Amino acid sequence: MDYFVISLLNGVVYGLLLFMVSSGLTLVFGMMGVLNFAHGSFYMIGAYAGYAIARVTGFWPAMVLAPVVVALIGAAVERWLLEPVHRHGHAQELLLTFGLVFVIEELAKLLFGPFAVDNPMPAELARPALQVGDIAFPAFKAFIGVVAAAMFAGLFALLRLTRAGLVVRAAVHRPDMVSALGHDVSRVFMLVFALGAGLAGLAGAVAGVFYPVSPNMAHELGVIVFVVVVVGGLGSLPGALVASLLIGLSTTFAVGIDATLGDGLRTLGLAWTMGGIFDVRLSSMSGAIPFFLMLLILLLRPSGLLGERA
Amino acid sequence: MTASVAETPMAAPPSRSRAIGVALGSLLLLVLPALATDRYLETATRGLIASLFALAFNLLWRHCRLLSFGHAAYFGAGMFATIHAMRAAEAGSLDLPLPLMPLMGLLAGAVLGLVCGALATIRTGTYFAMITLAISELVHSFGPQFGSLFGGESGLSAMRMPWAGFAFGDARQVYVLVLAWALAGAAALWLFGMTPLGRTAFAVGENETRLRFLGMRTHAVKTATFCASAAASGLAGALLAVANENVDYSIFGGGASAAPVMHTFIGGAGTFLGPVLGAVLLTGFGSIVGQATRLWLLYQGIFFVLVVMLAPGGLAGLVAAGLRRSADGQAAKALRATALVLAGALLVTCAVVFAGETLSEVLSDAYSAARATTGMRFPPVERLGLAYSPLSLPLWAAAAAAFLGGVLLLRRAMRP
Amino acid sequence: MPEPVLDVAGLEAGYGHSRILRGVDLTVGPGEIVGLVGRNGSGRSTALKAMVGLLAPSGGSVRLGGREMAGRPAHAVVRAGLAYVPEDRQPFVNLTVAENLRLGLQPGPGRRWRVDEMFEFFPRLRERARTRAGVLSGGEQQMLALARSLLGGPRVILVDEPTEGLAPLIVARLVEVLRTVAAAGIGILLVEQRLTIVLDLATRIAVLGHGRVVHEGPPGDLRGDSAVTQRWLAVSGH
Repeated sequence: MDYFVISLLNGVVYGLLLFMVSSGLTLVFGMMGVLNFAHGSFYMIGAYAGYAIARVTGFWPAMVLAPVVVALIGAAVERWLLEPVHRHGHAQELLLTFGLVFVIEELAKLLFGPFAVDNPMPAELARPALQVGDIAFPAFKAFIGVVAAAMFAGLFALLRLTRAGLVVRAAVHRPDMVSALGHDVSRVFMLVFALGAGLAGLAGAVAGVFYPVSPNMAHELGVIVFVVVVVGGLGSLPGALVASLLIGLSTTFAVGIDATLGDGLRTLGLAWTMGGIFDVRLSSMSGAIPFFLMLLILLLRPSGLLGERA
Repeated sequence: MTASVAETPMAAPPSRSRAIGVALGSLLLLVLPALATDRYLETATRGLIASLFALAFNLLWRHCRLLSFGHAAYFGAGMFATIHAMRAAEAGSLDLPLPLMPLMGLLAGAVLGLVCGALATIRTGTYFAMITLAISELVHSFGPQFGSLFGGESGLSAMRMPWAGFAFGDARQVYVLVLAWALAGAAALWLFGMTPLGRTAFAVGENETRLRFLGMRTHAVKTATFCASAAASGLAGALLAVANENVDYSIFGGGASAAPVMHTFIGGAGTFLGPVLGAVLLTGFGSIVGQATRLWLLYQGIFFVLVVMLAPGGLAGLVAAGLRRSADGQAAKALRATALVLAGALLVTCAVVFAGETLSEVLSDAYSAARATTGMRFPPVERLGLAYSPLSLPLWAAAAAAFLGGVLLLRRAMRP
Repeated sequence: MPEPVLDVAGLEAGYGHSRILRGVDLTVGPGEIVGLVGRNGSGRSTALKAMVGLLAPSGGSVRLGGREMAGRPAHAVVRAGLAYVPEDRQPFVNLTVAENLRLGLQPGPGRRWRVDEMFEFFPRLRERARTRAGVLSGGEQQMLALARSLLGGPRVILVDEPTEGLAPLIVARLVEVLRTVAAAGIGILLVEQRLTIVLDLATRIAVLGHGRVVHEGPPGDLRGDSAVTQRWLAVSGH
């Protein structure tokens, strides 16, 4: 029972972290039709920025400044790199963002070295937040959860309650018509892109507190985030939330389950002694679960759980 | 996805120049073993393998307008299948001569490509690209799990077994074997475009909806093309397995998938041989420059980004445009554009290399040690025999100016 | 004749390699309703898009109140006082009617219409203010599109086939509203298939053919089986 509760909390936190990163990606894609391969890189830049700024200002100011830095970098990327390539077609945009992933990764290696940096956790977060039976739920995880929830609320408020949010919501579906009503859609695009980058950067800064900050970060999380947006439906924020939680929970629960596929079959009364895939523990295959989910969605409901575009 | 005009299959250089280029290239390839040392032959071998891989990747793009960012899965499958076959031959349980070993890789790539292609081609465009990426990551995640299949962290090794009097122990014989297969693979990919399937695949790339309305089973066509592309990738992987005699599951990682993408689009995706140009240039440069600096991958990435932004047709596209201009009687214009491109490229390169190398030096351990010994906060950096202060404002200003100036020159050159 | 608000000269535009407009000249004065007619494919919608800047013209000039607008991005052209109501109405389906209208509310150079004035033109919209635009009927969506664009305070409004597929009662309402708008001094360039509407509403007509304006004159020129109608609008023949 304790295990269940802890896994639930862990899974929700991981899912919320995924949502922080994927929300920006799905918004940008829905609005601009651009899939930013380098979105995971913004997450990584956020982690490194958080680390670097914290060394100068301490932890808490860094959590505020790092996302701003990443948002500015995102705006620059959109204005100077993506926008000129836009007229050459979607393929060129994809290739550009693909190339950016590598450039950013190599820059990270250049500036911070190829190994994980020594990012100390601030004292306030090193304590356990709550006890569930024998197991302690760490404060930093609660912190990540709180930040993610606050971000979600803030994003919701921004989109629903402000005029800028109205413009964004309209531009997600019909950017030309929004333009024909006198709004500068390309500036809105840049702001949304910067916002998405900033959110990913916030996720990185916050996650960097615990998870290792290394040049591999972008790649590891980046692919999972793609799976999230495919499963949730490109362009759908609610879809991204549902998919993030789904993947977060299923991956977390799987990590704790040592049973194998063979065990499962045995309980059904089918004796199976063949090795290979049937002897692999679910816990070690937990990393593959998102991809299986994606394949499932692909076959059964290609537009994603809550996606609108075909 | 729409493609820019420069990327259509029709944007090829005039056929006489092309024929001359191909003839010269083939001649060079054939006489290389007699001229080059082992080290260069090894680099040439890797260049051939990279070329075949890039050609395989480009098959999907040229024909079906599909970008696959996860082709390492099929390359790696080919590598592992071949290594297993080689091990079996070593142990005596498989009686397959070494020259035929690459067939195992081809088959493995084809089978995996058929399954994955059938799944991935359900969607097109951006979705397709993401799915191919996810599939390759999935395969990558299997790596640490199945020790007997993938050999864990250290991977698997096998020796090249002698056959028919050839020992296959030296670089020369390996080169010839790889060359033969690479040429065969390239020819097969070229001929694919002549088959009914290949021609239909071209049409699918142009206007899939139209074909579907005509009753064509476009999914089958795309899957078949994907399978062919994966088979050729598996073949390329097999050749690398034969050349390296070793493989581990890191081949499924992102770097191997990125290579054919970069080679193809830097070389030029619109022509058949464009990817070869990119693969050869980058493998060659990587081998030379990689010795001098640890920032080669960064420079390659920056180069790729600049090509994507400024020259969507790649280097082959630039060359083709220049040749077309001179054929049209605008030789002076072509020469001027070439001069602008070279000058711009030189300026940008100098600026980027200066910035990169200086930063790299300042952040290195050797520099920290120098700080301690000399007692200065920023001791001078030494490169190419010259010493300069890393804080020198004039130098950085000059580098920034060179970068901006170079980009401006390049943009000027690209204007029609 | 008063100074035209919209002055298009030699407008050229197309998609990729196909050139659709090969030098269109027309003007719209304040309070004028100019009917733009022509066969399907003659480039009427293309002309409107090129004027408002959703399609970059390859040549010619578009002057709005004397200021050159050709080549400028759409949002700048609209801010300068040129509104555009597209053929497919383009409601923002996931937003409510009220939110759609809010998006159109901009400080334009022309008469500042208010939202309650729009509700007076179209009482149906007031009833449906909180409804998602996606579930509106065709006629309601057309009313919404027109109201939305008017709230931007334009001096000229380009309307593309507003009556297409609509019931006569709604068509009558739209015609009435357009007349009221013109009476307030706003110029209207109306692309219409239904010649009866053009005959009823327009003060002047321009016929588009071969990428140019091939005839200009009073609406009566299109009456019945006139030479103009035969040559440029009939199905068979050229």
